[in-house]
Amino acid sequence: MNILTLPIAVLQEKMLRRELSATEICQAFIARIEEVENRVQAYVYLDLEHALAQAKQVDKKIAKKMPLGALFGIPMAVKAAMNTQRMPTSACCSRLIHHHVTDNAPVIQRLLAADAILLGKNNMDQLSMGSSTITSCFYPSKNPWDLSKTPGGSSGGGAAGVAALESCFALGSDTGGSIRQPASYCGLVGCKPSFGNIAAEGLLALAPTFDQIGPLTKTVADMACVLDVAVEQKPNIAYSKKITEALPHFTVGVPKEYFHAGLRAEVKSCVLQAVAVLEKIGLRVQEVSLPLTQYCLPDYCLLTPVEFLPIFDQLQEMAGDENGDWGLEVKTRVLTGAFLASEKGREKYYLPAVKMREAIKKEVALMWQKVDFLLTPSTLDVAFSYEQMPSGVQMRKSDELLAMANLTGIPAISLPCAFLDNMPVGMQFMAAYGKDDCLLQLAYAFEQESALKIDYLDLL
Amino acid sequence: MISMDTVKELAQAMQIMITEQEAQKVQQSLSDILEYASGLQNAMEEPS
Repeated sequence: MNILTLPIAVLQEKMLRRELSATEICQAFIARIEEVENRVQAYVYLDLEHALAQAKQVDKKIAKKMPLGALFGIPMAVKAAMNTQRMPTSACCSRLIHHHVTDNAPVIQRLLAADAILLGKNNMDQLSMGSSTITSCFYPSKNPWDLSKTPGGSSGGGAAGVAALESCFALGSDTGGSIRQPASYCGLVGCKPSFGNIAAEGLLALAPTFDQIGPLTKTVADMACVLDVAVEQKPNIAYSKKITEALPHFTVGVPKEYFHAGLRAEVKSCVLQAVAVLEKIGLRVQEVSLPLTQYCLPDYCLLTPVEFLPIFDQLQEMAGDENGDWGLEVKTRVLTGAFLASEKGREKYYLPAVKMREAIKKEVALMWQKVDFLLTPSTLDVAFSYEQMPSGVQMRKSDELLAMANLTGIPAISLPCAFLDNMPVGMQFMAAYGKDDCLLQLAYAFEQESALKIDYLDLL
Repeated sequence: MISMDTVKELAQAMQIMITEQEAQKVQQSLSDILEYASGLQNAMEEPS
């Protein structure tokens, strides 16, 4: 038994049986951070003494049989774009390096009130703009599966940290795939809940009608435990209970447009193998068509920079006289937004993009009359190496299969389905808005049946 | 293709300091995105 790899439910069972203390669990994760962090670079801020103090408080509560929160004793990390009282909220941007706030983001407050232990804040692409962590003002994080490769982005530090067993789970944010792409690249489960299910308050925003906070975990069961606390509007049945219920005879649609020529052939085969698993657990699988899929990423590229403009004005004010400069990616997106909002750009590009978003929403809404879920690959290929890193539009294409969920607000989850070249391959399930519980139920059933074994301890 | 002058004017309006090299990169990226999105623009212009 290794503490680092145990599921949340097992860790908590052991704490209640006094086989393990919250302090011992916290110390195990701290020792792991000391062992591997210099290679992985998942964190930008650590608050380990305070984490140990939090863990001791949990042990006291257990000893005195006081009420415990649902995530008692579980070590977590959060993205550096989320407000925390004790650590800067720089979003890995040199202009905001000393940005401190007085309150925790509401979601972090809920997790702490549920007795989770905050170890530190994760590295990320600057202001969530990027797909690799390379735009961080600190350093790029490394993929524990292969340290020469990216863990993805923008929530790449969180994914690297969970896969390297430096935290039990991490909170990221997903504006166009920024949780699911790193989850796919690092062999993790990454969930973007339905838009608004977790308030984005206290997150340095990128595009407020797209941004969604969500967790990165090793398993769907852990995901359900975290969402039970993180989600504000509680479902009738807790996610962690719902996932174990028998799966109804749902229908899964496989949209053919997601399997285009740009998708690596072997990734396509891996994802299509999942169809057999779904059929085995009693689901009906059928090919469907979503012709507007080709416009999802371009639409995202046109809409989000315009939404960012008023946020940038606030950030300029917040940064004040702070030294340092905005990164090139930030400048590019701001100036793209400024052009699209100008007289020249608005009519020709921005307004058609607004109309396209509505058209995509309609097309996807109609799809739920035919199927209960959609199955797609998460990314076109496995994680890329820093040496062969794509740039510009090619880099943005690593989110090509993920942007639709943000445009439409539907819930989506990426989970590992196979391995290629000793790297994990991710696949994505999506469901109708508000059907997060069914989505988790499906992902759990798939995970149980596929029985894909990942030994995260062996990665480093 | 967006001109360098347009990029510099936008940077000035947004109060962003930008070097000549950065302006060139922004010009390229912005042009690439507009080209990438041209299909979307055409699709929305077509009568439905």
